[in-house]
Amino acid sequence: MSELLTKLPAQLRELATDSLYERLAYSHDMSPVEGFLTGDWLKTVPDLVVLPHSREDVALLLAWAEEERIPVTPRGAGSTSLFQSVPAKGGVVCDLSWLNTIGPWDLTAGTVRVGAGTIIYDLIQQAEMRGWTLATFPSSAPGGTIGGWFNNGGRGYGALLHGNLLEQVRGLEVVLPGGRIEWLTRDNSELPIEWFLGSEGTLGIVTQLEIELLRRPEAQGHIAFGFHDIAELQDFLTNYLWGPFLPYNVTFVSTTSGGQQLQRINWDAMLPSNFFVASFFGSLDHVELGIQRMRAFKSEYRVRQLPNWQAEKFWQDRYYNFRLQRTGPSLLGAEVVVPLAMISHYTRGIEQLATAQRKPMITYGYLINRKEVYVTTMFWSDEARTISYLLDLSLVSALYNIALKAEGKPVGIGLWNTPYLRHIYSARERRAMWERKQKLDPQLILNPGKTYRATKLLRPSVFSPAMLLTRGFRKLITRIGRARS
Amino acid sequence: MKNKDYSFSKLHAEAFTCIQCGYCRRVCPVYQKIGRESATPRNKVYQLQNLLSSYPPFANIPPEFAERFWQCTHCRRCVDVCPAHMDLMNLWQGVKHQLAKRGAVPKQIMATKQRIKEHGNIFANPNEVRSYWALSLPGYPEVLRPQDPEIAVFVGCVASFYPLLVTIPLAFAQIMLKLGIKAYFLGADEYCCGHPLITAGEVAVSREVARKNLAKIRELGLEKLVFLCPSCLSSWHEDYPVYNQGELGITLVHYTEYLADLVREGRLQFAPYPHRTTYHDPCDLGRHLGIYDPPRRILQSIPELEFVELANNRADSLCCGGGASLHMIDQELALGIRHARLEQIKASGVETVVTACGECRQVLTFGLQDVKSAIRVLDIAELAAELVVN
Ligand code: SF4
Ligand code: SF4
Repeated sequence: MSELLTKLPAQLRELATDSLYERLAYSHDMSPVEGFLTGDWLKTVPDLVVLPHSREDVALLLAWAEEERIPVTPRGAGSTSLFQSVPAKGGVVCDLSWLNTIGPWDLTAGTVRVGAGTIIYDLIQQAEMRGWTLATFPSSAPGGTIGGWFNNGGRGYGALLHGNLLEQVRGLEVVLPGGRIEWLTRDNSELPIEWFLGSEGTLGIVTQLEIELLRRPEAQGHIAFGFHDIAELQDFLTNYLWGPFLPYNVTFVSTTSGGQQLQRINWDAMLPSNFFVASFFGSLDHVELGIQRMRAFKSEYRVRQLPNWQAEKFWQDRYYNFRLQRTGPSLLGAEVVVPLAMISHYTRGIEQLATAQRKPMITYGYLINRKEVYVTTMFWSDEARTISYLLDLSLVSALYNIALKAEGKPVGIGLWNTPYLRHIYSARERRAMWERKQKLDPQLILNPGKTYRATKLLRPSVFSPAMLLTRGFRKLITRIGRARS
Repeated sequence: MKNKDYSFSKLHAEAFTCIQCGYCRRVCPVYQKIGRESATPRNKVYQLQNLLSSYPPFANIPPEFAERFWQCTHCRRCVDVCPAHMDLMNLWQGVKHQLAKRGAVPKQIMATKQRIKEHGNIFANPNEVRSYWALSLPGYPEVLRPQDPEIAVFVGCVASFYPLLVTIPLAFAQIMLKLGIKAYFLGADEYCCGHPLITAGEVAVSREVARKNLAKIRELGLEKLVFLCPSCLSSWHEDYPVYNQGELGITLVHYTEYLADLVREGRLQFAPYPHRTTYHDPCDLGRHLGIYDPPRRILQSIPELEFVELANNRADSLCCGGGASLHMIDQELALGIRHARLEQIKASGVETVVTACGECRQVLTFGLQDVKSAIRVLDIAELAAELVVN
């Protein structure tokens, strides 16, 4: 038994493990990051893993951690890719998977209390059995936890019509550093729920949420349009969205090499390079009139309506964006939020990059409100070929730069996006965030080494030139390769 | 990963397809029971990536790695949800194959292998007594080997020998006799199908028994083989063609498909069964073979039977914990896994639960007995034999 484990309060000891094999499982997330990249300057393998079964366990852990000055990294499903839930400085990982109780339900008010470790898909299934559903949910619902999603901003399908998860949260149970348990409501001005949204587990450990549900819609309908030119797609959506009958969700796809890429991911190769799928949920009237209005818009654009089955299939596959990986071996990419008005600008930038670097790319995104799109751009790489993989990694920063030029910003910070902090938040926002952190966690126990400032190697002064150089080198190699062939 | 290629390069290609999304965590019964991240399919793949990236691969196998890989019921739930469409069943088998080559194999699996090799069945019984389940049938043993049979029947080790389950082949034989269908039971000519070894990634002995079984069927000139055990059918269906390096040229069906056809043709009819009844989808029959409707069609043809679905059904069915010899390797875990399914059965308010797999029938019977439930557990063949009116 490790020394740290013996120091842990007795009640927590049986919920904890110091087995190296177990701890290794917590030293990574979805990002395929080579071990040597995290080598000496980070301590990604925790010293202990604790799996609490109650908020009291979490409170005991945080009280002890503060006293012993041990870092604690909360973790849901570990299904993010910026190391949000991977320790940067060792310590304890608090795996919240077993805080997964769903209920009690208040079906008159249409609310449910749900443990932070609940898998979102399980919650949706349970709600649907009772005639309700979640107003918004992420594409990763079968993997992610509700607490993890909230801590990472709570954006998802349906946000266009219903707002993000914050809009649905009626109450939040959070354990603060030191072990104080708080139940926060929407009118709490001293400790607003908003502070915790997207805080990446750095202010407190969310243990329970009260969610307002949506009645299962009476009807749904899906319609898809293909565009020759992405600018027309942008224009179509912008104009449509300022009228009535807002869709529940709009997803768009843009590829740099058309059908070939679509075929690689089992989509119809005949689909156009740019298309969007709009999904209408609600009363029969709302769905029918929405689809009619969209069809009426068609005449003003050079646009092709895609067969209904394709639109429906697209929605059915809403959790399966990752099937891209099948054609891997590895996927790299960037998640950004870009103004709808700049989407054509952004995708043109992607096209230029793809051509210059000879790297086909695929971009898809969904609207999170009338003005903004949550966009993911992906390309294939091979993490087993270390050099080319490292060169490819530099393209991720190029994607971010394209987004920044299009007035967008990266989504999430964790560890790997700390070089972009100043682009993601204004100086005022950063100051406010830091003040909150100091107020709630002055000893920097919770999830340290991330979110607020970049570590040495990731400071923009080091990181940006390094990425530029690597990208230049990659381009050079590509050119040489092209000349030879 | 086809053709039982368990080489490092194949394992590598598959393992590095994983994106660590964790969709498989939600459904894996082993993880649900153990509750540790190391038990998730995702972590097994991650640790495998590490082992394959070291040089030489598999040189230093952590004991926990082997332990976790053997803790699997082969339920296939992870495969169905994997967005990267990983061929996880083959991956699990491939890793077990590599582990077994290095001696990291549970002694129970080694013992099973020995028994199959020496006796042709998993119980180390003399194979000649394979059809003793039929001792009470009038006309035994000739009645099991009619001239010009319509079908041949492959019973499988579990229902041939296990006292609780011998009623399954007996019931099927009774139905055939009642309907006047000439069914040829292989009896002593039947060897273990190799399934317990196939799931353990053991190629050599399973190939050997597959060849013996195939040779016998060909020698007898039988063209339609009806299986009473879905695991045996799954081996014949998925693995034998690989060993055979081509299609078998034999029609392979599960007995529920066969009986459902008889129902459709009007040859098989039932007396009323006025009881609330549910059906437990066995993993091997459902997720592995995609057979969901025939058992339901049989049940729905029974007059007055009130059929209810369990909360998780069809492709989403819960594993009973009985697969891939887990009860031999880690009995406590296997017993723990069955708990969730037993709870669902109890919650459904049924009087009878039927299934179509000997292993599941046994797990559910003992499980419901242990929790002092009065719910009746039957195999569909047993219920059909009880009610057949022709
Ligand atoms: S579902 Fe598939 S891709 Fe996702 S973690 Fe599990 S094995 Fe990997
Ligand atoms: S086959 Fe079943 S038990 Fe085995 S890893 Fe997959 S989900 Fe878990």
